[in-house]
Amino acid sequence: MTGQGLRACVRKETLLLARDLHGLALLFIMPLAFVLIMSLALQDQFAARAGRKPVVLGIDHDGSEASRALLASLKADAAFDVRNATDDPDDASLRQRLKHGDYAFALTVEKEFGAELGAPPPASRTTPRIGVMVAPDTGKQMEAIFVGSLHAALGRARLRAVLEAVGAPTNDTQSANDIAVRYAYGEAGGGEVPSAVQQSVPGWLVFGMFFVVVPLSNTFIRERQLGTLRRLRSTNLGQGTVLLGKLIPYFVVNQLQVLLMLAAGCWLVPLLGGEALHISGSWLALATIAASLSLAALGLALLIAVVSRTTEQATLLGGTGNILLAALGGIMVPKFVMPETMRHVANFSPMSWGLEGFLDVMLRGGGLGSIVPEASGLVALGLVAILLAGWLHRRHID
Amino acid sequence: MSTPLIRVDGLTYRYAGATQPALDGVDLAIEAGSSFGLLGPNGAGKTTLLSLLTGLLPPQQGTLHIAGFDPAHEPQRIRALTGLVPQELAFYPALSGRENLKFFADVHGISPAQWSQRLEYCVQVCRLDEVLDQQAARYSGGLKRRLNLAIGLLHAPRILYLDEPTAGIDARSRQVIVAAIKALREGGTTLVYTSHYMEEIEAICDTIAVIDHGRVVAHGPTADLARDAEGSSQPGMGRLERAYLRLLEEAQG
Repeated sequence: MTGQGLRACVRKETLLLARDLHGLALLFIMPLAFVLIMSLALQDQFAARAGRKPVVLGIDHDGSEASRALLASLKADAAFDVRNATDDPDDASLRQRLKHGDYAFALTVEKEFGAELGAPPPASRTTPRIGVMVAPDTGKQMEAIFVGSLHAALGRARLRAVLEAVGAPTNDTQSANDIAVRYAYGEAGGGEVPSAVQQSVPGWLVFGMFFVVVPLSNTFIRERQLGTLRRLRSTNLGQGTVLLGKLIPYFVVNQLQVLLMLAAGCWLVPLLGGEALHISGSWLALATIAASLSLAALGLALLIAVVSRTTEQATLLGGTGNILLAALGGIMVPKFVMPETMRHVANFSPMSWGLEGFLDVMLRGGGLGSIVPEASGLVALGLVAILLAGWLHRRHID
Repeated sequence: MSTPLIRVDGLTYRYAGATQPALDGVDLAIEAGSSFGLLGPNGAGKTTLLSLLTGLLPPQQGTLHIAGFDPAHEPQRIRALTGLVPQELAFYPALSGRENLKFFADVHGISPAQWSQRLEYCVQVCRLDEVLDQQAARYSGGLKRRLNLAIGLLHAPRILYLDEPTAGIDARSRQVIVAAIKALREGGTTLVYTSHYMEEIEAICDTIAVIDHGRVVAHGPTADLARDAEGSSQPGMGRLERAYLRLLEEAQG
């Protein structure tokens, strides 16, 4: 292997890739678009799953001890984030706030609520003293939960009023020890669940990295079809140098993809109204998992390039294979929403190993030690695929 | 008599799964500095023979010596001496002519000091100066053939194998390529040339061999083989073409 020959191969491959606009779009624009779209579109879904509470705007027109106790009782409910209004919005303004997405519900406590609590409603009253306005993007299920919680809070308020009337103690109307909640499933109960940006950035980054298969196999197959590989074989440039000269530029491309997607998650997504990506783990671990993943992606790409006869075959095999690996590996459907069986199946996809490695670093604050299982699997897969591709290539040309 | 630069004895090659050998006991001797024409119909075994001579295929039976080296044991020494201009347009269409030449120059280990000199020579001989920085995909068919030839000349090989270097191009580009090849011959490069154009073979090659079904059916000086066809009259055909067709008919019974 000569340094001059290897440098020439790397430069040639870089020039070919730089002039392949479709390949560049596939490698950079496609995953970036997925990161932005999915981070923004799914942020509410991920937030709810991660335990973020729907926000309730509490408007207290009554100002009584009972109305304050009602709102406090709802605040104490683990399901909702109740915020007291600092102004007195009219109906139109309230609708506007809910449409804007600031709140999931507006809860209005009308005058005389406290005075009438504990007594039967007067015959002259036709409208309830409690009003709820629901935001357009709040689901029916959430609405039912909120109304149920409100009924429970009202019940507690009435019970308190009755107990006060008879002079009984009122401090144990609700006990935290009444109901014990346990989880029949694993990590989603006790572990950390990623936010939309924490899932989307590594997920679509992994997906994009595996797409090196398309430009890499296209140039490789075209070299075979054009006779340039045959011409190169008539020189003293070894086939190992030819293959290495292909892999190095794509390895660099994979690392550029990592930098671009992380930058998008850290700076671009928040600019567009999404949550910013925070990397809590070690940067060295991040670089290691990125390099390991790249090795696996390049190995599979090279293998597909060697076994495919035409560029169409390689594109079909590589593209479809990537989509299947992504669907299986928790890229398109997060693993934490999969049933247990599918989670086990997902572990067979190398995309899942890469994603888990990135999540170990970005979400769980992991260091080098935490990514060893995923990184070793990816490196082993990459090396096996590269050796197999080299052997098949050798066999093919001989 | 001097030792031939290329000596082939009893060379046989059969592709995996093929019922007939592509080459069947081929014997050839090619003198240093000569221009050797390899004739034969499609599928006769010419490209297989070139692949064996350039070390792309390993000999299965028989012996092969190039400048005294055995390709089975010293392929690197042979590759350093030889150049190949394949039948395919074996370069990168997305790169410019200059970028293609630079890439193959680096592959051959041409130093930066030699590079500009070799570039100038190849560009001049193949008349590529006006299109050197254009993307090769935009070249005409003739220019592509000229670039294909120029790449083969970069490292100044002692032996140059040319596999139909003028296939499917216009008269002007053919003239440029034939002139370049003649210049190489005059410079002492040993040429092994395949073509279906008999007038080119007659103009360039001093010795020819006719191959059919993997066997050499005739081998000798071009002038002698062409002379054998004198007297036969087939309008519109040159002497060598008539001789070639007669040899093939005889070989096929």
